[in-house]
Amino acid sequence: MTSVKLTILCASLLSMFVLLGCRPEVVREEVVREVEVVVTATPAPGASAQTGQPSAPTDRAPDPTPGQQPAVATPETSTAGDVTENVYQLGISEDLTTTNYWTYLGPDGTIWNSYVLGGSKPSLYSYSAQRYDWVPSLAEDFPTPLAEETVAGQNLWTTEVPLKQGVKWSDGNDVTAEDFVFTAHTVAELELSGNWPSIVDSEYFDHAEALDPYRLKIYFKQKPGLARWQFGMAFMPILSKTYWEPVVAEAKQAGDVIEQQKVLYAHVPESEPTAGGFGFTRWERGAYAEKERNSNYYFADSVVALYANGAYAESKTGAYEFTAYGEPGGDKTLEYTVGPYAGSAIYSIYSSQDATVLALKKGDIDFMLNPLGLSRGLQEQLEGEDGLAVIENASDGMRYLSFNFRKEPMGNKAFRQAVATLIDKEFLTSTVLQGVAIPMYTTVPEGNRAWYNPDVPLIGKGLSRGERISQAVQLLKDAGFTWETEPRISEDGRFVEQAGEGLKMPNGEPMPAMEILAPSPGYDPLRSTFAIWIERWLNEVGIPVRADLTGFNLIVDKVFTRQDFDMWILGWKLTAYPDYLEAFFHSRHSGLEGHNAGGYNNPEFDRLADRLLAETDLESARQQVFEMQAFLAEDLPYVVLFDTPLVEAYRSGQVDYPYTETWGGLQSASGMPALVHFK
Amino acid sequence: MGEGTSLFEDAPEIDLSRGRLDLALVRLRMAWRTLRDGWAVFVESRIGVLSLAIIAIFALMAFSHPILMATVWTPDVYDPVTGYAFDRFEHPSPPDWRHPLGTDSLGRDILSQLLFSTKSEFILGITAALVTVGIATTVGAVAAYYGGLVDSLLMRLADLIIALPGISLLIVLSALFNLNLFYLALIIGVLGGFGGTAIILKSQALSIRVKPYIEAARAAGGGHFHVIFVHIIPNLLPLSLLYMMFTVTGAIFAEAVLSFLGLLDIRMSWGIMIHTANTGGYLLAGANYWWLIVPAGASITLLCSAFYLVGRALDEVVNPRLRRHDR
Amino acid sequence: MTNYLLRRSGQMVLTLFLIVTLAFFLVQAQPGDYAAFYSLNPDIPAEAREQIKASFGLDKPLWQQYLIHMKNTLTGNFGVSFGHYPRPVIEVLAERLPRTIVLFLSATAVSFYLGFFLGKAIAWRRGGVLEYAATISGATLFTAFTPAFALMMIWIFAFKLGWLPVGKFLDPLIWRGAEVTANHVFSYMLATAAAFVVFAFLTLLVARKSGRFATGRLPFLIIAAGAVAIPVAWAFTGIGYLALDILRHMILPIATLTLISFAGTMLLTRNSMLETMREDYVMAARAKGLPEKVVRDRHAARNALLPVITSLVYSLIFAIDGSVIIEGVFSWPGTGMTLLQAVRSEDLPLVMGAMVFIGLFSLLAHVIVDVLYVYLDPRIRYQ
Repeated sequence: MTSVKLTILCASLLSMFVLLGCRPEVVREEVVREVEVVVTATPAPGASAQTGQPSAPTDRAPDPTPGQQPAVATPETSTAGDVTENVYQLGISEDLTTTNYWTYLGPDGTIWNSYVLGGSKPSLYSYSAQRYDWVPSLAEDFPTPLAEETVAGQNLWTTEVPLKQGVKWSDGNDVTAEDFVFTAHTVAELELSGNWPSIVDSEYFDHAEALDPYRLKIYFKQKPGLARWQFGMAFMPILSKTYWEPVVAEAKQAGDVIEQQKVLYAHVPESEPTAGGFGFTRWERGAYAEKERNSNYYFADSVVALYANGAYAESKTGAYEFTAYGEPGGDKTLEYTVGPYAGSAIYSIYSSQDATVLALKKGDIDFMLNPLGLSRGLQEQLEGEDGLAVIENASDGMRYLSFNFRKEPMGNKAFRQAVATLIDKEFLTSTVLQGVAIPMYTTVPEGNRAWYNPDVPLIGKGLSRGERISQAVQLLKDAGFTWETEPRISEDGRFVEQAGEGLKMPNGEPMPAMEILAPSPGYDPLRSTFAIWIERWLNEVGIPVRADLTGFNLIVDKVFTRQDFDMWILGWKLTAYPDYLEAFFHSRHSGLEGHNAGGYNNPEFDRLADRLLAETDLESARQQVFEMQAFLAEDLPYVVLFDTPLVEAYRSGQVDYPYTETWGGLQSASGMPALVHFK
Repeated sequence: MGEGTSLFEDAPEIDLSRGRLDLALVRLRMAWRTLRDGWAVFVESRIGVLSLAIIAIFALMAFSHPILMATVWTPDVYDPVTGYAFDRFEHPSPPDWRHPLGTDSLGRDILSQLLFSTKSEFILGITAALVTVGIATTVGAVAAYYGGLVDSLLMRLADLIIALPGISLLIVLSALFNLNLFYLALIIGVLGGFGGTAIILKSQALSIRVKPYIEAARAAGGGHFHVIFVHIIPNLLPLSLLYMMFTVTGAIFAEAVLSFLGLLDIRMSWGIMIHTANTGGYLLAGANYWWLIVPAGASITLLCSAFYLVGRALDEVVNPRLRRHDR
Repeated sequence: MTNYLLRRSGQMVLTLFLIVTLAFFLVQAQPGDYAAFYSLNPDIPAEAREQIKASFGLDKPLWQQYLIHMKNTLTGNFGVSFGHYPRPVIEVLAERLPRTIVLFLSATAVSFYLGFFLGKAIAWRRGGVLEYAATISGATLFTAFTPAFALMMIWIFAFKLGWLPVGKFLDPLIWRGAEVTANHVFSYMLATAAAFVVFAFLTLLVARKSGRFATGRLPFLIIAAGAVAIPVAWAFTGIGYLALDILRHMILPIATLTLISFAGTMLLTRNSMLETMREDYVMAARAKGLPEKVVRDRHAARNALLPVITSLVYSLIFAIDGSVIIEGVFSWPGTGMTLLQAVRSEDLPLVMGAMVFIGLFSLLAHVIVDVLYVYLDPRIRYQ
């Protein structure tokens, strides 16, 4: 009987496949026909939302610069038919949580949302490719300097911005100053949450006004610093007034602000107009999202050039021409033409990195978007593969060790310097971690050329084991620390023969047992490796610390929520404009849940930080940031430990990018859907 | 005997203790005989014996780690967590005579990690098993003995726990709280002890409860406590032993999965070893980096299936109806 | 029977209530809170953080939060997800449930059938090579480290051999122009399966009642005809190719799950068979000189099935529970993956919702098996 049943089962299965199998071909043809409709492109980089993934070793980032990359573009003579056949396939590891732009920059600011949704909205200004110059995007030129003005008895600061003409939404309407005014006022009136307050800061922003459709005037309550205006509102994504006005009006009918926000956030947009290279078309939850080319993309075919002498040039034949930062001339470091060259971009979800890599190797996807990049084993595996290219870029992260200044000996500068001296980052990164991590010394990464101060002392760089110990011992002794038994180093200087014992603090009390809170190996093996080695090195000179490898949430709770800790190791994702220095180290942020959880307090530093916030001039802001770095390098509220290089891979047999060298890798440019070429 | 003494008020103390001694001896002899018979049945199962041998080998491995660390392995190089193989320049490095299973991506000796973790796995598995069986036996015996409300309450609790999705619950617990091996063992033990195992042991206890000797013990004035712990529980032990084996399998497996997902607060285990290989991106490397995955992966499978199969073989000992021949 | 069902439902409600409470307090007892995630962004002002706390109800006292939670659960909306704000938890879960059910019911059915089939065979030929091979390989697969094993399956069949897709449940290139969503197709597939089961069940019931053609092959032919009718019907709906695409993506996870879990059923069937084979009626059947196969399948196996059915609950719970691991590897966005992502991102309402859902599912499995048991074993009548 069994065999009969099996036969029947097989037969019916077979017939099922045969019957169903003949169908797909027919339908697939239809699919191709439908696709031809749209032509689009997306400006890419810049749109970084905070990394919502606690699984990402760099914990939450202090950056949401929602600005978009220069909406750049270039001539493209090929027929639309050719281009639309290209499908740019990307792999992502987690599903979107929303397709609503308000929600994405509000409570749902995940990196995956930003990969897919970012770049579809215009902004007044943006960063240039590679160099992170501040350049106009929707704006026609730089804004007028801030001026003081009295409006209705109020003293306000104003600026005017000329807009490009002819920029269109995908529904055919013009992008005008009204759209900007609408977006900014909506954020202010509904008090939108998440990343919005940092874009439209109600302490500064008063209102905006469209002088005419292409001339915008913005009013500030107080003089906005660079962070509020140039690197804040100027990067604000602009949403279509025509589409959103009814939704916002409906939201305003709801009860309190929170209810109003809920209505806005809950709206699921359908064929919302885009001004980027692509428009969102389909989201099959849990499986993939698709964007199609925007035929009205204004920046398509524009040409962008960066010159070695620092000049920036952007032009579109018959539309506009723009140059800044010097006369274009001499060698070009980069030149490209904006696309998009793809008919659509598909983002497929593969929930494990291994599966994504297999899909990439198999040819199912062209590029994998991953904020952490590839691990070394996978990199090694992909390196020799045919048709695949592996690239490596500096990333925009920083992992650090920090101290609780409220407790001794952590409040002692000599102690912190001794700890910094004892940590052999080169040994750990090159020898133990095999180059998976890069040693880092400063709170502004060296890769951030414009803001990095090259003259600050790098404590402990390049010392041998023996030198480290003797220097650290000397630092502590000079500050009045004493031992019962001093640590003794072996003759060759490689090992400690006799660990230090009975360490006493300058006040004569024995040094208390301390704990370093650090992520567990499961969460981040790199940081936990650092913690374990730091424990070992400090114990060798007699400092009684123990590494407590624990969950991320628990560290956050102890450090930021309750401030009950000795030392901790975590990380940040950093922005190009380093106003985060103020947020991390100004003493006014040292209360509970503040970011200066360690309680660093230096009035001189505070003064500089306050000035930085109010600064409106790029050059003097730079000077202040340099001085702030000098303080931090010596006071060491953070011992900056390391950063990881970002390794990515793409199908070079299939796609090509105008450039692949960029801070944070191709993923920071969301995979450049508007620039990618097809072979 | 406990309260039974009141019946023989004039009986000399000495007799009583001798009686107790005799009884203990008889019990011991009977236990020995049961054990011997059971063993005879057990060895008939070739798979069972093989599995037992595997477990013994792992036990030896667990003991060898501290010895090796104290004698031939320097902690600088061979510490499973902080060691670093200075003699190699690239990690993970393939096996050689100094590192028979090579090193991991952080330059640590794999064999040392494997042996070190074996001990933790045993501790985890056995703790969880003891807790499970301790609770389940007591709960089963008490529920069967008292019946009524006590029985209802305990069995409803068991129903509730069975309905809980175990792995999901452990994932939630370990992600939200900071579980180490001990707490993990405890939780697995409590869940197993109040859950399915308790129900099975209760039904066994029910069949014991109606045996004449229980009746006799009661008639002889044995207190509840006495009857439960002296007469019912010892007779439950063979079956308990069986379920201990299954618990060990479950506990080791749960640890590996949770560690793999990066949810546990422990520094080294088989699961962490695979996790390290995975985060380093070596899970797909196959034959090129086999020593990163195979030793830990095979150990998990071997030890888990060994305990599982020993359990199955014990089943034949405990349950005569499964035997090939009557005895 | 009605009484029994009533009592059982009462118990279920109580159990569910306890699960809901447990889920809430577990989540509450964890250290750290969600607003801390926001507080880590230095660009978000304190008022905004307070506002977020307020909108999530995190500023209210614990008992109020519990009441809100209970009310939400009873009204079936489980609150609002943090990570998918402002989507209700129920919406997120409802979207993922069909996928989990389709995959894991099929996998459980396949692995149960395979386990039963093998268990029967090895009990009948005790001590044979088959027994050793099946027991050892079954136990090895059962204890194989699931994530690594599943990945290996993908590597072999999807990458090296290229027969099957690498994870996910559909191919975007096929679905791009589709006018229906995947969940639409999933629910049709579920409905089809349910209809087929009912059809097969009724056919067998009628066959048994009428008695005349019960022993013949007719019932099976009718069922087979039903099976053949399914693809025919699907082919006419115009979404058959989509269902086929989903089926193609299901093969690998089902195969993996089957290999991992058939051993439990197999060994249980074996033991159950060994016990039944000692029963008098089996001896009698053999003594009558009936063919071995008939004795095995008709007399022994049918009765041995009873205790095995009980284990079906556990297989189901095990499968749903194990979905946390399997779904992650196969990029199958069901409830398990949702739970894992929710705990990782501290999306507390979603964690609670997913736990309650998974708990509810295993409760249902219990009841279904209870009822099945009554049907299969006429000796049992619930009071």
